[in-house]
Amino acid sequence: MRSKMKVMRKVIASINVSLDSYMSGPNCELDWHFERWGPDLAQSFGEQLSAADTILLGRVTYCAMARYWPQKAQDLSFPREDIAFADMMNNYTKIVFTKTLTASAWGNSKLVKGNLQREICKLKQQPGKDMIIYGSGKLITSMVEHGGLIDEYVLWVHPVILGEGKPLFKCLSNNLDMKLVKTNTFRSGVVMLTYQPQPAMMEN
Amino acid sequence: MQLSVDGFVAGPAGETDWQQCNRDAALKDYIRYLKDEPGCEVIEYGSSNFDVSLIREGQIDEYYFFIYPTAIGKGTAIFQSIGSKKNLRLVNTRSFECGVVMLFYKPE
Repeated sequence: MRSKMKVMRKVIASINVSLDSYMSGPNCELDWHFERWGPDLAQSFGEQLSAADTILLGRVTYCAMARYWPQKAQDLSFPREDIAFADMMNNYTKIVFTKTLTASAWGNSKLVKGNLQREICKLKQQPGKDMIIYGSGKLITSMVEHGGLIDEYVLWVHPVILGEGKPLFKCLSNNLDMKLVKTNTFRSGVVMLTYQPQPAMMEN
Repeated sequence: MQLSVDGFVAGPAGETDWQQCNRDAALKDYIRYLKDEPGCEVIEYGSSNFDVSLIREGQIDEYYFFIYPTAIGKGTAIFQSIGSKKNLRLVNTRSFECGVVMLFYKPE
């Protein structure tokens, strides 16, 4: 009897951070990220997104992106490699974990209210490519606390100290030990660090 | 500066047990080499020193950040009193077997 190992979809958290680990300024400022954008970063972000087919988001990031991406796809002054990225952002299925939003503000979106762990496990078992989370600090922290929901963390560390802002993890009950898997450096000084969580210790 | 991946130099009660790379000889040698370099004053920012006035005043020539592959969620975030945003220029990076990444910056 042969059994086939089903390869489950991965959840990848891809996060722009300052050197002091803020995802944005205190009022969601991202100027420090846009200032350091370039063709090499665009290519890397594009490659990462094209390995996925679904974007998981929390409400705040979703609403901000819904205001930004639809208009970018029409923007003729937008660089070509960025238009391809905008197309993926607009065409991919967005799954938004929210208890308060009742109507979607962006095409190809699905609002999910149910149990986070159950929903993520269900999604992982469905056929498809990997799923990517952008921003969404609260959602990421919840998923870390549930354990085992995020398979990879990609941190794009920008060469700037902000001093204040929205932190990467909002408080964890346990340390999150990880294994460094890959690093990459970009012209503007951004460093990409890819980690996988260490498997949890089995307790008797 | 030895940082958790989420930007803390120590836990809320000063915990630094997560800074564990005791068996990584290359990392220990590198840190020792940096500290021993003649002709320069090395300031270690950590759980017992988080006076960032020199950073704020632009008196630091080189920054070495050792990012440990652990997120601790809360602790001493020493850059809170930095004042305004500080841009740096990446000079070099290095990864170690134990998963620590060294990021070397100079002020812009």
